[in-house]
Amino acid sequence: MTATRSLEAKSEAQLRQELRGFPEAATSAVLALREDPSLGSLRLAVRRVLAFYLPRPKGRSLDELPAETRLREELGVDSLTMAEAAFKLDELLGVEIGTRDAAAIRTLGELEAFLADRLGLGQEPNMEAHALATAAR
Amino acid sequence: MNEVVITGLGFVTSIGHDRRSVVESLREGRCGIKPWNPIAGESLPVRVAGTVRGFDVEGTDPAAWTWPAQWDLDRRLVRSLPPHGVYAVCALEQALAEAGLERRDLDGGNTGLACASGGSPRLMRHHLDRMAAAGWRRGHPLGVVATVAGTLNFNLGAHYGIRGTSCGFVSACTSSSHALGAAFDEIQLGRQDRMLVVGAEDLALETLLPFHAMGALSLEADPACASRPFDQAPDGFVGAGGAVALVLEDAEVARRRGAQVQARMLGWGQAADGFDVAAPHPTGDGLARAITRTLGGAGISAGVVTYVNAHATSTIAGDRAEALALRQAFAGTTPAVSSTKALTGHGLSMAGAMEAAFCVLALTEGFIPGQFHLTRPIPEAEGLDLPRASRCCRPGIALNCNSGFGGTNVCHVFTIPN
Repeated sequence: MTATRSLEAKSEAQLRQELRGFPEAATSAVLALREDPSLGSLRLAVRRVLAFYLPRPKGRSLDELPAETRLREELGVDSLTMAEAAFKLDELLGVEIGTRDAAAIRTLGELEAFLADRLGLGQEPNMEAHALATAAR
Repeated sequence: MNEVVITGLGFVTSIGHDRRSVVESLREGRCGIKPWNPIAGESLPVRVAGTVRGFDVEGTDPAAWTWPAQWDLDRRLVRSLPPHGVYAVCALEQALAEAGLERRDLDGGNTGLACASGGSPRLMRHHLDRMAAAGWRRGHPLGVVATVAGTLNFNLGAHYGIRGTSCGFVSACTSSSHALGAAFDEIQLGRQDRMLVVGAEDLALETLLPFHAMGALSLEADPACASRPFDQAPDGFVGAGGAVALVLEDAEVARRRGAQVQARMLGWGQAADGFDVAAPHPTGDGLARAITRTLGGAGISAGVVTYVNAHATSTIAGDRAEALALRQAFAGTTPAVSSTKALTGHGLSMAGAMEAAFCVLALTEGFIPGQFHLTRPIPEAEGLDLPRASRCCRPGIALNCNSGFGGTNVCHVFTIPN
């Protein structure tokens, strides 16, 4: 059993239902994470799910942003937006992001690191590049 | 006292999502009641409802909701809306457009908001079930503001930048009737220049079926005759979802900005039965007094009222009581009377705003909606003028009547502008 067992236990149809209304890019990234649990695929899935909750402009991509990107100041993620995205990530991944944890997360990288830690996904630089390239196709 | 006028209307209803289609439906008797089954594969005792077409807000995740393309709703607004909040925004956008108002006109502190909705028991049930499954440790962060009865005024007040009065009303089927009355007072007393009034209802199993437990819903399967106000053979009301919005303004403010005035609101009034938690007073005593108070407050006599939009929901007890109330209040005079719920179904907390708006349409478009689906009137309605089809005429003064649980009775009276 792997750290992403909550995600792996779901069928593609179930995940598509949970992500109904999300862009296909977000759904495909979550499905890729299910197939290939790695730090890289996690980062892409998290960024594409989070992007859905951002203020306009619609369709803004977070794929290439640096890990230091500040959630509130640069992306406009207020506390409710963070809570809403955290609730969805919990539903998808089975990782609870508590209120205090959410308040302490300030950057994209910190959010990814928090989830990677809870899922037991370590640093995999090569896999990261591979996943980004695969999902982008 | 300031004069109060109506400058905008908006509709998302079972009989249309714009002024023109609503007028055509009311004129021609086009029924918005359709087959309804929110649980695929299951046979429910209630089989028809006043459904809202063109929207998909059936799911529990706002991310999956859709609405007609002419409305561009921001997802950051939608995320905290109840399902019927989507209807409400679309109706209010129409009303603001009719009134010639933009968002920047609303944030000066002189515009208020009065809303009515029963909340969304369906979405609340979903969020509570999920929270219980998580051991009550976590739940959706927007679950409260999207589901409780005040959800419309929370959301619309924030979205439209309302800095004047902002309030929600909960009095069952007179909720938006009270909202409209309170809005009138705010302007008449000079507290606000303008009030936005919104009533909306989520058509869902969890909203509607509890009324079946009271024996209040029609079990008729034929949409064309399920809602039969004032008929001898009604078996209950037909529920409906949707939203209706009205823009009320101080007449002088409307005149100064060159707004097109649709109607004057002359007044409103209320009187309760003090009789039963659910059933109306059998003689319609409270409603008769509400009518008399409303007309007296407006300084007009019963004899000048030309049209009454009755509450009559197609329940035996309610229709009988209302017919008696109308006969008592209009003794010696015979305004045309119809309940448009024959076509729309019963919008519950939305009913008052919807039917008040229909009165304004009757005044501005020059017709009296017929009492459709009426075959054999109840004996209590003898002497009432219940036109079987719409009449082409310009009613001078129109009265709207609504009644709710606990014996609340609320009326509004409108006339054409000077």
